[in-house]
Amino acid sequence: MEADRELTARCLAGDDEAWERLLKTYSGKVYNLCYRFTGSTSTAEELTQEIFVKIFQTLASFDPAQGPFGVWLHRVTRNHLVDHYRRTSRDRATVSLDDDAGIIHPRAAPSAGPATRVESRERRELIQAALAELSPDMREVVILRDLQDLDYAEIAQVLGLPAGTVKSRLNRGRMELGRALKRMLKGEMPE
Amino acid sequence: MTHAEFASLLTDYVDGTLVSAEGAACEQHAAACESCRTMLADARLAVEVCRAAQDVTPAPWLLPRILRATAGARQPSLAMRVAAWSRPPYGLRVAYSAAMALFSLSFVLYVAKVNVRAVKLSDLNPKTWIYRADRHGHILAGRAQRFYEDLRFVYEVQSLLRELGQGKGTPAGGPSKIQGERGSLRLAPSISGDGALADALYRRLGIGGSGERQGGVT
Repeated sequence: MEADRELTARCLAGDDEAWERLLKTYSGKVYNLCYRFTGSTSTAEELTQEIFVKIFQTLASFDPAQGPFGVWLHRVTRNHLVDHYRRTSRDRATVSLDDDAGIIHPRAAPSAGPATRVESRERRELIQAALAELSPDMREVVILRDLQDLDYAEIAQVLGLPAGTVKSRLNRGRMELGRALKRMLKGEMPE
Repeated sequence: MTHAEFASLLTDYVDGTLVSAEGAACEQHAAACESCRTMLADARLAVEVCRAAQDVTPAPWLLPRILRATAGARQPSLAMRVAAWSRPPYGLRVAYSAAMALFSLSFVLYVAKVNVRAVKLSDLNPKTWIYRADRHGHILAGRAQRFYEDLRFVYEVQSLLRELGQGKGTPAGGPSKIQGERGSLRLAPSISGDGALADALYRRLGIGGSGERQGGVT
């Protein structure tokens, strides 16, 4: 947290190296969040770039007294994703996974064998398809908790919701996700 | 425990953050209630699948693209450029450049024979530097040439003496005295008696024939 605070201060002073370090630290998280919400690598790339441009332009508005940089970044990301969702006027999570057919960048890709890659990709597609069945409210809570590993307090800060609401959404989200996964594992793919 | 109570504790129960008494109560309820057991299984499946999911890594071109779209659009200030130069690895480059500049300056001062402790007005004139450097260079070249010729002379004498020793036998006692000076050579009488070899020696050394030798060799 201290390191982030120092990096953001250096960024504001015009230090490009600090900005690059901040980017390297958080671009993966933001990209993952975007990918989980949209289910498309190309859209996730576009959104990640847009989010970091926004972060770069509004970094001066970040107040360390209000919370850590990571939480602020998640909040900006989440707001941008909501805007994107509204802009596209349809649930982006229901887009076809064919969008990803060309480019896949699994973390274990360089060392993993073809079988592992296929398994990894199938699992990822399964999760994406199951997440797409959730409502956006529930999906964002599940993603932040179980895929981004944020704690309840951080999720509450990011979403601006009481911790009780976060818990109840997470509860319902998990059960719905579990049901969707079960259906898919039994071979009943969603429409 | 009621179904509603179980549902309200389900998230913490799955996360394992409940105190032991509540956890035990949830476990008992799930064992007894099929619908709650199904809810628990669904939630656990979701968590397990999500936690087992690998992160996706962005494409390698994404980071440079973002950098170009953000910091790349900004022109660094003069202070930032100077600061960047003082940072490694540029710091090393600066140190090398400074060392080379110092070496070049000291070399020029040495060649131009400028006394840094008593600099005169004429010392600041580049024409003086060139004149002195030229003079200094000629002196150095002259010394080097003289040294080379001396060395060559000594080696020639040595090789001739070796030839004398291997040819008709080393004269008794060998050469008693060799005075090497360009253009003149004095050999001890002990080897001057061997006429042919002595002539060869004088010829090689460019001293002249036997006529000249009459007065040259003592």
